[in-house]
Amino acid sequence: MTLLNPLGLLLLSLAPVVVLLYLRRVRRREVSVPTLLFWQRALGEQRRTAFLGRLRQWLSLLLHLLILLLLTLAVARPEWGKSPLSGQSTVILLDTRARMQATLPEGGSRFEAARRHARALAATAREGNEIALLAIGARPEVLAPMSAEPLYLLEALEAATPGESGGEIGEALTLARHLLATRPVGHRLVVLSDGGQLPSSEEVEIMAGAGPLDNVAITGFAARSEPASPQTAALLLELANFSAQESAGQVEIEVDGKLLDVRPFTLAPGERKSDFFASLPGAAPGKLVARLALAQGTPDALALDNTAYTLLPTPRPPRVLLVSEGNWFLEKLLTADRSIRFELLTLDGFRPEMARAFDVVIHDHDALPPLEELTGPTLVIRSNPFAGESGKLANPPVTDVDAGNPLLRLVHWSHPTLFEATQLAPEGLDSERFHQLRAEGWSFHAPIRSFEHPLVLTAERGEQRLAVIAFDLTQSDLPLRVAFPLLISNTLQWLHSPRPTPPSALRAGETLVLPAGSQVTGPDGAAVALSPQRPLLQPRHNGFYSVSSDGEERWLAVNTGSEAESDLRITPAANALPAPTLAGVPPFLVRPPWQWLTLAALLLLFLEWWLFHRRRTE
Amino acid sequence: MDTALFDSAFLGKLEALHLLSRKIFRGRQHAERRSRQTGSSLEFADYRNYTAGDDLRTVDWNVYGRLNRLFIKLFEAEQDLHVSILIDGSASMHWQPEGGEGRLTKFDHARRIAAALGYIALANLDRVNLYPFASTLGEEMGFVRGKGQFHTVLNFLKRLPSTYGGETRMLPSFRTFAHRLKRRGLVFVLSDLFDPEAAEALAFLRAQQFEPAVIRVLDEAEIDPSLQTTARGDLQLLDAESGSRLDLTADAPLLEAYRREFTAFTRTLEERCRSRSITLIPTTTAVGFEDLVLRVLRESHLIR
Repeated sequence: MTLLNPLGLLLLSLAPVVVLLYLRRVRRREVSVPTLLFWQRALGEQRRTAFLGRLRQWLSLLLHLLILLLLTLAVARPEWGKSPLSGQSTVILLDTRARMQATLPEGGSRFEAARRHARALAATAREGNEIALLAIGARPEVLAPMSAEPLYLLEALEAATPGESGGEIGEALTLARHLLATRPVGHRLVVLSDGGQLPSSEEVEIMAGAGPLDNVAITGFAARSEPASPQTAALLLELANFSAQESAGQVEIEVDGKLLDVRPFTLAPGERKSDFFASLPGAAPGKLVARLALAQGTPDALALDNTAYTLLPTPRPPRVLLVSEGNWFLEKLLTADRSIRFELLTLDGFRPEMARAFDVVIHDHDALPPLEELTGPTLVIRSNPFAGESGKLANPPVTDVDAGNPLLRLVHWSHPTLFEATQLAPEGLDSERFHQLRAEGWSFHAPIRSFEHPLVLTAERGEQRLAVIAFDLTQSDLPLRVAFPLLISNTLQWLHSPRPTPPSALRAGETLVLPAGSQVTGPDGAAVALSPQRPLLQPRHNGFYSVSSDGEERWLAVNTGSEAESDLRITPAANALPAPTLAGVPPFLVRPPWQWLTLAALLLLFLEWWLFHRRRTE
Repeated sequence: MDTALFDSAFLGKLEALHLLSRKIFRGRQHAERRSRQTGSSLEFADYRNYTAGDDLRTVDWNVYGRLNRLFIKLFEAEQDLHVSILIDGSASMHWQPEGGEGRLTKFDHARRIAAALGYIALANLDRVNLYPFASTLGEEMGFVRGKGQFHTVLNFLKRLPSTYGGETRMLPSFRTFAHRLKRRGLVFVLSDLFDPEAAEALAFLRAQQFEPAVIRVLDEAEIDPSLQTTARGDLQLLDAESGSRLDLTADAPLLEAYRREFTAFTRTLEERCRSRSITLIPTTTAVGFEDLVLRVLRESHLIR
């Protein structure tokens, strides 16, 4: 036995004080009675047992001294076993990654098995054998710093839960080594994991996990808008069979809680398969869920990766304003285009500040505002926005067509007839005016030209975009051709470069910075706590998260998104840990000796108090 | 003591009650008490043959009509009774348990009982006298008669607290009482009987041809000291009468021993009173005063 605080024994010097206090006569309370007659008789009856009375006095003193002795020993903090000089510092790394949720053939999860080992190790904590607990997850987390209190460690272990994220063990190991670096001697690193990229270092003890487990998983699930039809989406689903036998089943796709499609699949051992779902109608919020329903008998250790989540892209249709004195073709075309929200204004009703409310403004008139006022994406038809010397081109032939230009995507330009076109500059793009504009930061492309004169022109300066169709549509047969709607649609798409949208998909454990004041609701419907100053979302569970900020609500689809978590065939060449020896010991029994001594002193104190008040002692 | 304690309704009830005496005493004046002396009351007693000189108004003419013989009707003479009330004024009667301040003391209770008994006796045209006693017999009130003298009784009772105290010594007090009082009669003793010679003193009264009735007034805390929350632990007991002190540790066994001793003392008193045909009525200050007068005394056949 070792005393960690030998100076505590000095408390024993209080023993004479206890005896002196005991020997002091008790000050009796004066109570008036009508007669002593009966008291004297009763007392005379009791004094026959005077010998027992004297014994009571000694019992009381003995109890007092025993209580002092126990308290002295408790303060001296005795320890059995190793002395603090031969102490040890242990860091237990508990794997909480998604793969630890895999079910073992004998029942229970790998995480539970790892936690049992951790409990047994934590129960050995005491002075001279301090233990810290780290969690391996998306990023390492300190569950409990170095502590000699088994109860504290066991509480931290009970609070630990397996996450649904992947993660690297290397970061956790680095943190653990930093923790141990502050300790003088006796380092011990214990990794409680089932495997997967575990180091084979001599300093690391690794829990012998279960053997390889078979698993079938959804490894990829994503949706995107179809280029030809932004209102519809295409869906990609990837399945993988991480087992040594064939797997079969069906995959169910749900949109906003309604079953969309069910497809059967069969996967050979180790096979990966992609499936494609086209032309899904886009509708908010468009929550897509893919679920695997495996045929009976198909081994599948991890249920977590049998479900995947994603969101249908829901692009916002651009708002387009046509300022025109009347253009039947253009109005009909824009009205028919369901991918935009179209509004029409006459020139009289238009004010330049109105342009800010629209994504694209089309000017189809002669009274064009100056170039400086065309701040947003603008399409100018038949006018010259560059305010230089301009004229008219009569019957201009189309000489150059740049088919690779985004404005001419899928456009078959079959030489329409143009009666007249606006000459943007006498010498086309080589004129002095365009040189001047280039010097101001503009860049120009002319996908359709008539010699040096642009008939269709795109201009860019920074994020500002401008397109010019330098001829009157009504003075050509272009509106009667198939190329017309395509040209206009391409031009509008080019002009309206959608604003960068925040991510709609995230991996579990990843961090997403949200705007201040955001509120997040998790898949379980409970609000996720965020720091009001700097809201960082780090989702631990898969599913759909609702993010509300500035009055708008958007959704986030969270998935584990890691093949390494689903592939349970990898197991480490583990250094088997000794079987836990204290697993069956209730946690409340695992206490340092000083606590037991204090408890015993308290019990004796209670006993003495009880005896005194029952007048069994004096 | 205040007459307001006995409101008119209560006094009306008392008036309807009669003192029950087991003996019939000779009295100098007529009262509502039957004696062995025949007289001229309405209560028929017997017949006797007419002799010359008898009052013709007492002849039973109905009997003469049937038997043709003259008989004289004899009536019981109703005579007054001497009722003496002895009130224990010793210090123990003034004692109150700690925390019981504001409650009635045994002495207060005794005075109320004395007032009630006095009223009833006066209402029955008996003669009433009050005697305080402690170590000796105190100054008596003097016999009074008639309901109109009730205020004298009350005034005397009011003056008692400040004039009496000390130890209870019943035997010398009762000797003085027997010596002073020539006429025998009913004697009420109101006391806690905390006197080792209490039984001898009561026996002395009986031997002196008095009819003693004892109302033993106690506090609940005297019967069971554990009711007094302060009567536990290490104590120095102070005798309220003698001033002597006693150190002890009041634990459960001691309190139990106390109760045994108290019960034994009470039982001895009761047996000795019973053997001498002395009525002993125990009561406590917790018993309501009206209850005591109307119920306890009736049950003990002192009042009918």
